[in-house]
Amino acid sequence: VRIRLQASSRASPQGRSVEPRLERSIEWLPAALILTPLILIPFGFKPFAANALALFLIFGLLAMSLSFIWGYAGISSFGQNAFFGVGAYSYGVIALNTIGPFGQTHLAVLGGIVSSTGLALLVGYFLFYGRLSDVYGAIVTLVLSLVLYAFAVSTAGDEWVIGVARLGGFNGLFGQGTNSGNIGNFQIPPITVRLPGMSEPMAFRIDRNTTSGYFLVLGTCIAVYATAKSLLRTRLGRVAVAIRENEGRAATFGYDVRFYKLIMFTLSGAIAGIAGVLFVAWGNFVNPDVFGLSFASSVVVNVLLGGRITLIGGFFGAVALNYLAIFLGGFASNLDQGAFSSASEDPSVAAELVTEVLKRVTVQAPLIIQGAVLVITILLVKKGMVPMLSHFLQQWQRFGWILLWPAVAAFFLHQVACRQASLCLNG
Amino acid sequence: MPLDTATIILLEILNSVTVLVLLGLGLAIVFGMMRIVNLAHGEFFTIGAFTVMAVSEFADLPLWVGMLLAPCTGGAIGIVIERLVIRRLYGRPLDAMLATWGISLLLISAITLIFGPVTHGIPYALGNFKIGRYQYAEYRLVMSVAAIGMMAAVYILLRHTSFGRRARATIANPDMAAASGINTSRLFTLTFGLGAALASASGAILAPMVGVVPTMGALYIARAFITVIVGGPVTLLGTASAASILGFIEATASRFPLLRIETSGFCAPPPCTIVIGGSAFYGQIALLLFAVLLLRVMPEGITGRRGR
Repeated sequence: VRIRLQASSRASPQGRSVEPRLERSIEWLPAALILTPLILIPFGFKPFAANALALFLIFGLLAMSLSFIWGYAGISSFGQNAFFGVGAYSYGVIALNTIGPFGQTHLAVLGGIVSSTGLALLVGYFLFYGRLSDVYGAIVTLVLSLVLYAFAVSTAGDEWVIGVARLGGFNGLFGQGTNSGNIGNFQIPPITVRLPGMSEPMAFRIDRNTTSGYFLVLGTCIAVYATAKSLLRTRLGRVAVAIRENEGRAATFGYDVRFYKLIMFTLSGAIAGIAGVLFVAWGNFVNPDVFGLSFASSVVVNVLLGGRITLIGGFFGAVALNYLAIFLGGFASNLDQGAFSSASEDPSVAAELVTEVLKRVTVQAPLIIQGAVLVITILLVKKGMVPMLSHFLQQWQRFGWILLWPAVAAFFLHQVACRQASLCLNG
Repeated sequence: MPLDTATIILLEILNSVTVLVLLGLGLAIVFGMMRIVNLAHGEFFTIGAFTVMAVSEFADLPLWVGMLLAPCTGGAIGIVIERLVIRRLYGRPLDAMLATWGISLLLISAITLIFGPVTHGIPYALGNFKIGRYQYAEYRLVMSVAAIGMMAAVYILLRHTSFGRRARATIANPDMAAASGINTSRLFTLTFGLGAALASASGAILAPMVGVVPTMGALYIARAFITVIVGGPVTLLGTASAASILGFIEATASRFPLLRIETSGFCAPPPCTIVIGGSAFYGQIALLLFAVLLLRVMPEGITGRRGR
């Protein structure tokens, strides 16, 4: 009844607002369940743990840029890493050149986001105004990132220099020359800004002792997520969903499908660019691998695993898969140290073979995991992890014990981290 | 332009066209007949190249044995994959495409596990011939002949055999084809296998000219997709015409420098210049730009409006 009332009261003369609320308002319980451990992690673990998580959140943000268009407008793009990489390279080039004279990197942040947004606008124009079909669009974006990879690799020579920034080919972007205080080769600076009321510019660093970079990443992710979520509640989001459901019908109602798709695609390019800027500021480094095929597939895999119809799914997928990779990496190094062969003095040929195979598999693990997750989610779990989890949560909502979940999760994570990489504070 | 330079440029164009035909043919068959974009195409290519490598390096047999064996290996693996995965995804083109992506990652891993992440070179017996001041590899001409042979074989297979008639009937109207007694599901399996076999054969033919490494598929897949997208839905005509146009563009763009930009670099003789055009990379850039512009005008590719 309530929905019907809402619908009739909000219906405009054109009959465009008949759609009831698409999303519920922010659900505080899940939000608290997710955010509490995220905020607490730097206080319970060494900075290294928080800073690793920051990287995974950046990958999650990139994945979110894909689910923003894939889940809400039905646009598939398999080359989101192209916008990510262009944002990263632009930030790097501008930051290397401006950190000397300005002491801040606000221009670089802006430049990174603007360039990736601009590229998305350009590519989107050709995709949507050329009325390419869904599958073609996905391939064209993928091909774009592969061509950018070929370009980035070919820039190793001495002539590929912008100001003091050397593109560096395979070696990645770095600064060379003299730039007030920096002499010789120097790295891309972290995000450095002077906020109002500060005498000195503040650098959001990621290293052994500081976690300011982690909070910058976390804050940006929350802000971008909230912005995207509220954008999807406006007319833009409703039209996007209408296009996803039935493009022809949306066009019949008088919406310019191409225009709305272009806007959504451009926004997603901007989100990917923000992630790219954070990425290069996180590691002070970027190389052509950001345009590579396996990075491109990791974005898609993260989204599929997390669930493409939710914005938060990409974060889940990215964090889960990357921790799995770390776990298997630790497993592989255990094998190297002979954890398995030490059981018997004289290991049989079969045991040696098994150890060798396991070692090889785990060293190659990222691609095997990605491939397996991709095939299995497509065939079996069509919706992904987050919709399954939230369905579960809704069913059991009245049981208060679920509030224990963060504690359980934190304990579990702590245990895993202590075992795998000696990350705990007093371990 | 001297005569020998002109001849060499013509030969380079021919070579570009050949490579594009080899890259695009298997993909075009699977896409044109099954409407499935096979992202694992590059890996079937790799499988073909590795078959040749394994046969010549480990079994010490001549190259042509490996080249004959390659389509069999690729086709068999393709048929298994179609049976296990692809057939569950008919009617869901995007999901099928994603599944082939997953398969491609798994195949790369499997090949790396078996042969290791190193580059293998395949020696071949043919030499070079001279055109005026230039040298040109004889094997490149052999490749062109092989590409023409493959196109002809596919044409005959589709036009003049019972398999081809059934395949075309199934594409035109799957339900009617099934009703008139054609085993369409087996036909789809065979078509996918045919695409995989062609890709493997192409990989085997190109193997002596390139470094054979488990990730080599990624180097070629962009050009393969561009060829198929530009070609459009008609398999043979589309591939042939797209490869001709794109091959001309690629060869020209990778031959002639277009633009010189001076930069403030650290070059040993001081003026640094960036040369735009005149290397293989700019050939690829030109391909992408041309494809994007062409699709703006003809969204379904060159053969899009013709119907089948």
